Amino acid sequence: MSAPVLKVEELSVIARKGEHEVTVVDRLSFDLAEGEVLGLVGESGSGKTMACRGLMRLLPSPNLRVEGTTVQLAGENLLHLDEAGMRRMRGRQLGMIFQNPSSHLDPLMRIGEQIGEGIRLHQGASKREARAQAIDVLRQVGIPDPQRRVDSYPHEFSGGMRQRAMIAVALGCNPNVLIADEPTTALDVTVQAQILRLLLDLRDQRGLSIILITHDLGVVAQTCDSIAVMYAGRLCEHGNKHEVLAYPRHPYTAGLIDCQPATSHGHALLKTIAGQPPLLDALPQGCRFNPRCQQIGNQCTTLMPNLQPVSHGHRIACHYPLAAGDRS
Amino acid sequence: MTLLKVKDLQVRFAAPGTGLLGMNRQWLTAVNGVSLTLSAGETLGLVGESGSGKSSLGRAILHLNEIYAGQVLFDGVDMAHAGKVDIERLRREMAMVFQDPYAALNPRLSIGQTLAEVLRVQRKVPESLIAARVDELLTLVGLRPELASRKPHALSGGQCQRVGIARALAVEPRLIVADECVAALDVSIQGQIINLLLELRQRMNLAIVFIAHDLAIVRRLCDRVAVMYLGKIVEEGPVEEVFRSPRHPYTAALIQSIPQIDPARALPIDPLPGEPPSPLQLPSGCAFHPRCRYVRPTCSQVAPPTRQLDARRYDCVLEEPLL
Repeated sequence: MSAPVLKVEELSVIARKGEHEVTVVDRLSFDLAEGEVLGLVGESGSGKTMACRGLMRLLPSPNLRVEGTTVQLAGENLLHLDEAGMRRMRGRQLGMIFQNPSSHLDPLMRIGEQIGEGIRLHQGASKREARAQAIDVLRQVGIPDPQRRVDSYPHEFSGGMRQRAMIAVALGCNPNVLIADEPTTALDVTVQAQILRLLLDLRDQRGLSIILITHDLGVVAQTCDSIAVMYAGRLCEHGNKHEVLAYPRHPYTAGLIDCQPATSHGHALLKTIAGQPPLLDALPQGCRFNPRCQQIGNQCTTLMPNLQPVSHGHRIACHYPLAAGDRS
Repeated sequence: MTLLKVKDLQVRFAAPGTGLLGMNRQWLTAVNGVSLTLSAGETLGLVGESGSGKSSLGRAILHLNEIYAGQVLFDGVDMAHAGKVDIERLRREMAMVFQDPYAALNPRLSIGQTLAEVLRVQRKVPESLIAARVDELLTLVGLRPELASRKPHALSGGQCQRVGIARALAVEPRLIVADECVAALDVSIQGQIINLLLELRQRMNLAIVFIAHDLAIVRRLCDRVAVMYLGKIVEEGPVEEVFRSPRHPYTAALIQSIPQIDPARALPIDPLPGEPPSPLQLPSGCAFHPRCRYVRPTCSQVAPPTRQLDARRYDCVLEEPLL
């Protein structure tokens, strides 16, 4: 495989809460290859959204800051860029789409202008060129009758169409990497399948690399190449989706797979992970999963496990990993 | 024993009017002639896309929506024509659990006060026993009684949803309508709430109308499932039969769209094109025909027949199984 499009090393996001500091994302490292779709999964509060906003340097509050070694994209380390440089990268290299398109599209601006704004700003295109490109992008994301729809306002679109429009805005400047934060969570299953299909088609046509944040392992299984599981701000397992879903080595990943209602049928009780994720300002000693873990050993409560490779391209952070194929 | 009987139910809402000063009033028919029955202790899943009318139907069953036509009989009594005493009694026999556990609880009341209020208003237990009953309810839903003094914001989403269920159980209902009650929760917590409902159903012989868009959970929890599309039930029957061999093309498309944790199974190419049309302008004939891949020329003109197949019924011209 060629060099990664995006290389993240030791990325942390730190929140200041009065006198204290809380590490929301703790030393995250991963590579993203060209055309790769990475599923970033975890429960709410596990830091998946913050990690992505951190690497885009789009943190929602001045009390949050990014630390780390490298976020390498298109030959530049984003952590060393100033705000103007970052804005240039966000326009040309990185796009982001969100769960709720209604709150991320400007309700008072025509769809075509919202797509064209970025194109004019970053590519210096004229109004007319930008409009032509906007129509082209709308066609690519499957909006019917784009010549007419380019002049619509967001409220004239249905939920699925608005999500398509937001993807068009993000794609306007031809980014190499698209970060999709729960893009289908608010949509119906049938429309979800359409949007996921669209993302895969765009990957195939443009070689787009995608980080797909989701809590749905079914979505990961059907659309992603690799999967990264986060728990309480740390990456606990990362690898090829076939390997991770069939032979999870981290007890948390195994637990997540087991609690999917689709894993088995009939009226037996569902498997669950007892307890709930820790609060980030009251983290347990050692491994953050240890209070909920079923195979806890004596190192778990004292020593934080680091991410270690267990096989080629498969890394886990666990002192006592499950054996491959050890699951009933 | 039939606990709930819904006959040809219609629910309409006034939509913003058109014309001068909005004088031409439009009506949105959210529930369009729905009939169903539910026995004591039975769980019925209500599924469909957003806007299909599942929540409107759920609320109409509890008389939280005005009924335009048709009947809802609870225990053989039609609430629309029941006297005050009957209505008060029926109000104590059914309850609702909502989707957003934080929004459904009063943020200014402690959990204990929230539960005590229900007990007091419904005169379930004498004043002196209220505190004990609150502890009992919290224990029932798997919460420590010490939490009674906390306010909702000091609880997690899963804990709040347990309080929402405890509040519904406070009236000792025979029927619960749960509207997307796990949609806002994380998977590991979702399972805990589903298990709680499974246990309570068995222990208290509760009938549950479970409104959800997550079909995998419905398959796990429910005895029967009703699939709604644009205000109508298009297929209804025992949950395993419907999931294994759906007869209505819409049901089949919904089932095919469920993302499976099976990396070998590719994303479906296009299980169902388009999105549901506006309920203000229902397509003629079968409302599903513009999106149906099995569409026949007659579908756009005449409403499909209702077919009965053992314990199942569905509205479609097709007779053969689809998956």
